[in-house]
Amino acid sequence: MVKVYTSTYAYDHAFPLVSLAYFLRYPNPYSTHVQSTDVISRQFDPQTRQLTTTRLHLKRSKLPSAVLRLIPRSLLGATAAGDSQSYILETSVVDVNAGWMKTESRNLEWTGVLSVVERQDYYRQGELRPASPASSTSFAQTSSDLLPSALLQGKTDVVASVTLRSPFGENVKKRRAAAAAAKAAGDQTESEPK
Amino acid sequence: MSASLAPECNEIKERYDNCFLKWYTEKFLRGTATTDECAPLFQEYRKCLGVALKERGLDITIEEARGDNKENDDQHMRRS
Repeated sequence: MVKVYTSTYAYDHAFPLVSLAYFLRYPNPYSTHVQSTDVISRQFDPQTRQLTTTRLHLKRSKLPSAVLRLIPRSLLGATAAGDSQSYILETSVVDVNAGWMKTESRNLEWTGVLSVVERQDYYRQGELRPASPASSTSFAQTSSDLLPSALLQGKTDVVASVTLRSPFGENVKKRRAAAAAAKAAGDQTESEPK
Repeated sequence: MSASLAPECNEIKERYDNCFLKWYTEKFLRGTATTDECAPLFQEYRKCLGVALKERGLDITIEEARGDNKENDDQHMRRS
């Protein structure tokens, strides 16, 4: 079973800033469940000038009590309070000259039950416009120390998608399809003239 | 900067992260980067992290996940 959700929106911030914010998004006060972030690999290609990064995040999550009742806590590594932790593998490619960044995050464990793949594609918007006062958030202000103002102008388009895939559902579907095919074959032989 | 999953790697990670942030904002984003100047620091950090990943059995899990990605990518390419 595969389910895909897609959405598009635009950030009122320039592409360089958005790509920087992506790498710096943890830790932040709204994501205290993210315990650690490590860089597994990072390659800069001098020819294409693309930067490819693989990171590993460790996230703590509260499990729904229904799930806790179904699966023993010892198996999940969960505490008595129902806290569990999971590893997320994130890959990203940034092409600063072409003005895009493609990111993908997936769960590392329990992929046999449910695999969740989150993708975000960021694109620099065609026309540059002067930085508006609306974009003067605290992060933009901090970043003006880091980046020249020319790099802080413009907007960034984002295409985000979440793909949910469960082999459980797939097996059920396969069995149903096989049963339907067998039934169809049976019907056919019956309806054939003798 | 975010912490490492292995506390013993935090110090070297911070040094690498600071180096990367400087390189990313001062060279990469301005389109003037020619090499990854933080590669030596990354090697040091990666060495520390490698031990921690192995201890937790994560090195194999990550390799497998990245292998799966390749297969998925191949499938994706074929379809389009």
